[in-house]
Formats: sequence, structure tokens, C-alpha cells
Amino acid sequence: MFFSLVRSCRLPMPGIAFTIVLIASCVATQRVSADVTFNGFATIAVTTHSNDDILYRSSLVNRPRPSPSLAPDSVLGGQLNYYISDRWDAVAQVVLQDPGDTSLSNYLEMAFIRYRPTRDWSFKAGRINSNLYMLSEFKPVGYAQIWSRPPLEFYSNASVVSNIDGIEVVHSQDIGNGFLELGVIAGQTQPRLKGSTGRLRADFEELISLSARYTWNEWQFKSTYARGRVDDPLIPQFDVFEQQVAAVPAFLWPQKDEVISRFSGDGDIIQYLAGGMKYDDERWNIQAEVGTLDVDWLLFTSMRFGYFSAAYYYDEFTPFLAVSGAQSKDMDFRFAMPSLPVGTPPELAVGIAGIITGSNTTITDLLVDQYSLTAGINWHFYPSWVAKAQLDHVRMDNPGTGLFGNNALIGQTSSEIMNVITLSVSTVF
Amino acid sequence: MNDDPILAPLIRLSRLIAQSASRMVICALLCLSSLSSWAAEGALVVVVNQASGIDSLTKKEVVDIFMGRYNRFPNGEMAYPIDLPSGSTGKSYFYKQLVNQSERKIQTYWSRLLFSGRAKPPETGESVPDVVNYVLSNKEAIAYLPRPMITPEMKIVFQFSS
Repeated sequence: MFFSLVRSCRLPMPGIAFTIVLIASCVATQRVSADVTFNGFATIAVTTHSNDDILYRSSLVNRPRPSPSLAPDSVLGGQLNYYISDRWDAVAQVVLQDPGDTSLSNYLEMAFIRYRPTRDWSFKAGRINSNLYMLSEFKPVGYAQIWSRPPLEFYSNASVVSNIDGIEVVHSQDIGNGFLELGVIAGQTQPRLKGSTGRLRADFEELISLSARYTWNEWQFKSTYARGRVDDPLIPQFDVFEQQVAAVPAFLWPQKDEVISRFSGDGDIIQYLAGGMKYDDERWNIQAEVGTLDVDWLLFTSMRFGYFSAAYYYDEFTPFLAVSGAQSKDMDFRFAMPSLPVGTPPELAVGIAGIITGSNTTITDLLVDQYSLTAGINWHFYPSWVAKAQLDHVRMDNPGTGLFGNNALIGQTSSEIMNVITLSVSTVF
Repeated sequence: MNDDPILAPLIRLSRLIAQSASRMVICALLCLSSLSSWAAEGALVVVVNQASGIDSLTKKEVVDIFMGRYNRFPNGEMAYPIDLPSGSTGKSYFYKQLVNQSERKIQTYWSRLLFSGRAKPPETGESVPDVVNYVLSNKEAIAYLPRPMITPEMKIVFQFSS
């Protein structure tokens, strides 16, 4: 069965720390030639947490990890910028982190060519940043952020559609004393998750994203709407599940087609709407975002999520506080046991009950009702270097896995508490 | 004017040496000493090459270029900004005046823009004379410099009001 799609994976930890040192040492110079520049970013982080039943992960595409671990929040990224002419340039970015699906394509974050015919217009083609969230363009760059990681309840989902293969058109315009950017992206993407039973993929086709960002002195506002269609999902062992359901006569279980459809997700429309603001002056950094995701697919449930963060710049130190939350929209939906006619063979009734129980357990496992309180401090101890210490107090009200992984899937029925401590050092080069 | 065939070249040579020495002294003073004095006097100006089609810029237009919002001047010409050396008083003063941000926050800001693929940060000069040479040799350059360093080959397009 495919019940354990997001169950923890106990694969060996990749040598991220080793890779960071190896690749960084290979980059002898930042400027490769007159028209090509190389830059990079890196974070080494150790993450520990307090709950033995829950496996931590920093985003939905990463592997759940036991505690302590270097893997969840350590990142190494490299970017090549190639300036072809005044109007043309190209960018490629590779990000090494801890994805569940280790396909090569998963590490290529950006690879696009850009044409800027005028001051106000920009066209990109290739793999481009999805630009769905306020921080999504530089989410892996620890140095660029206040926190050890972007608020997890909001940005764990963001990683699923972090880039889009397609085209982007951006128009920039001065409005008053502010600066407005309007963007349209069209394309497709293939989110790559991985559960304990194999790869979980789906194409998001016909993706359209509309975004607006307005910057005015210390203020920044951003809003995004995106829409796409789930296509050709690849779900581990789903064919086995489908055969079992198909074997049940329709007159005994009229709802069986809906079960297949809701789990398959094929053809479902996915819609996303988010808005955010940031105030950043010489002393304060205030930031908040809210978002909503709507889709019928049970394996990627409809959710609402948001966060609020405040930080205070005190010389080279920046203490911060944040609160964030994510909640599935429909916490109550479960499949009901059909009324079986008298005389139904007992083994068939047991089989139907088993399928329904398993389906409902999967639904429960994937629901999210999770909140975090975060406190921490970052210290710019040297130019281009920052050290951070962060404590997250996470409460999961739903008995399911939420945004993390489980050791003992499904069993628990009460709320779970997890404290996560992260110590990290980030740099850019 | 001395027409002596022997003395004349020597006199011209001595003048050249004096001019060069004078410029070197100015550079050394600017590089080695705090720049707060000229900064406080509002003597930091934004300049372009004399051959540039730009004659003046507003503060917002300077912000647009140095903060990576646009890679062109308002008239459509390319703009290649260059910064004074990292950690220099001049750079700190410039960004404090321009956007009220510390150099550290500016570096963080640019790490966001760079790694989002949106823009690349300004070039960084190794010294004030290096920035001067960049402006003199590039008609699309834009820089901020102490007023004493301005030459006839440059145009002042913006200066902070005192």
C-alpha cells in the first residue's frame, strides 16, 4: 500500500559538510573570466530536536531526519552568471541540500537565459524561480535571512514548487517614490518528494503565476496568485491500491471511484494565493506573510498558512521572534464505510473495511495542524559570515505527521510537542 | 616660458612629477585617513563619465541604479555602478545617506538579489584612484567620489544636500 508516502526515510546521510568543504576548496577564484562570475553560499547547521517519535525535516522535499543531524539545514549553493551582452545574460544555480529524491534535476535550482530589451522589461526562459513567496527567490541562502531557516510552517510548502520550467515576463515601473514589479510566469514543474516506499512525483502543468511587488522606502509588499493542473502523478504502489479498489463491485461501494480520484490527483486544479509585507529600517525588521492553497488532491492537502516575525538590529547582533502556523483546510474529511447488503461475503467486507481504514489513516497522517514559536539571535561576526542560534517550539495538534516524518506512523492520537534547536554558520562568497 | 633646449624638458618633467605627487598625496590622504571630514561637508558626489548622456539624476534614480532595480539610466543607456572599497568610510557614508542602511545590511540585500538571479552588485574598486580610473575609462560608469577627486573628464550628476 502507499500509506507511508511521507514516512521517515532511514537512508545514510549524504556528506553535505564534506561536500561543502570540497567544492569550496575547488573554487579558487570568484571571477572565472571577464564575462562569467561565480558566487556561492553555504550553511553548516546542526539541528537537534526533542521528540523521539517525530523526525524533523526543514521542508517537504527533504528527508525526515533523526536528532541530532547536520543534514536538514545545511546547504551549499553555487551560481554562475554569464553576461553575454548589455541585453542578454544567463544564470545557473545548483543547490546541494538534503532532498528525499536525489534525482540530478532536483539540485538544479535555476538555469535561465534573460533578455532585457529596455529599462523596464525583462524576459526569462528556462528554469526560473517560482517567485511565489516573499523569500522564495533566496530561500536556501542562510546569510540573506534573519532566521536559521524561513518560517517552516510557511516555507516547507514553498519548496515543493521552488522553480518552474517556462518563461517569465517582468515589468518594472516607478510609482511615486516607490518601485513596482509585475511578473507573469507560465510553465510547468515536477515536484519531487520521496516517501519510505519510493518516489512521489507529479507534474504541475499549465502553471500560471501572477505576482506584484511594491517597494517604498523601508516597506515592501508582495502578492502572488498561481494556478496549475496536477498531471501524471507517480505515486509509490498506487497501482496496487488501485487494483484492490477496482476489484470491489461498484454496487457494494459506490464511493470507490472518488477514493481513486481523490488519491490520484490526476487533473486536479491547484490554486495558490499569498500576500506579504516587510518593514526594514535601521533598527527593526518586521515581516509577515499569509497564504492559502486549494486542491482536491488528498496527498497534497488544501492548507492555510502564515507567519509573523520581528527582529531588532543591535550592532552586529539581531535577536528575533516569530510565530507561524499551518493548518489543513478540511480536518474532518474521511471516507465512510458503505452499508453492505446482507449476504456480502465476509472476506469482501473485511477487504473493503481495510481499504477504507487504510485510506483514512493516510488522510490523517497527511493532515497538518502545526504551530511554532521561534526565538533566536544572529551574529554577523565577520564580513560575509553570520552565526545563528534558534529555538523552535513546535506544537502539532493533529495526530498525523504534519510537515515532518514519523517513526511510529499514525499510532498517536494526541498532540505532539517538539523543541528544535539549530546552531548554524552561514556565508556567501 | 623657458626656451632652453636642455632646461625646458627638465622643467616639464618636474611639473609632471609635482602634479603626480600632488595627486598621489591626495589619494593617500583619502585612502588612509577617515573620510568623515569631506563626508560631513557634503563633498561626496555622484559622477559619470563626461561622455555620458546623463547630466543629472534624482536621488531616487541613484537609488534605482545602486540598489539594482534598474541596470540602465533613465535615458536607456547602460549603467555600470562601482562601489568604493568594502569597509571604507566613503562606502558606509554613501549608503547611509542614500538608503539609510549600514554596509552590512547592504551586503545582505545584495546576497538576496544576486542569488535570486535578479541583479548583480556593483563592481567594487580597490581604491579611490581605482574608482576614478573606472569612471574615466568607461562612459557608462557611475560612481560616488569625494569632490576633490573630480576631474574635467567627469560630470557630477547628483550630490547629497547638506
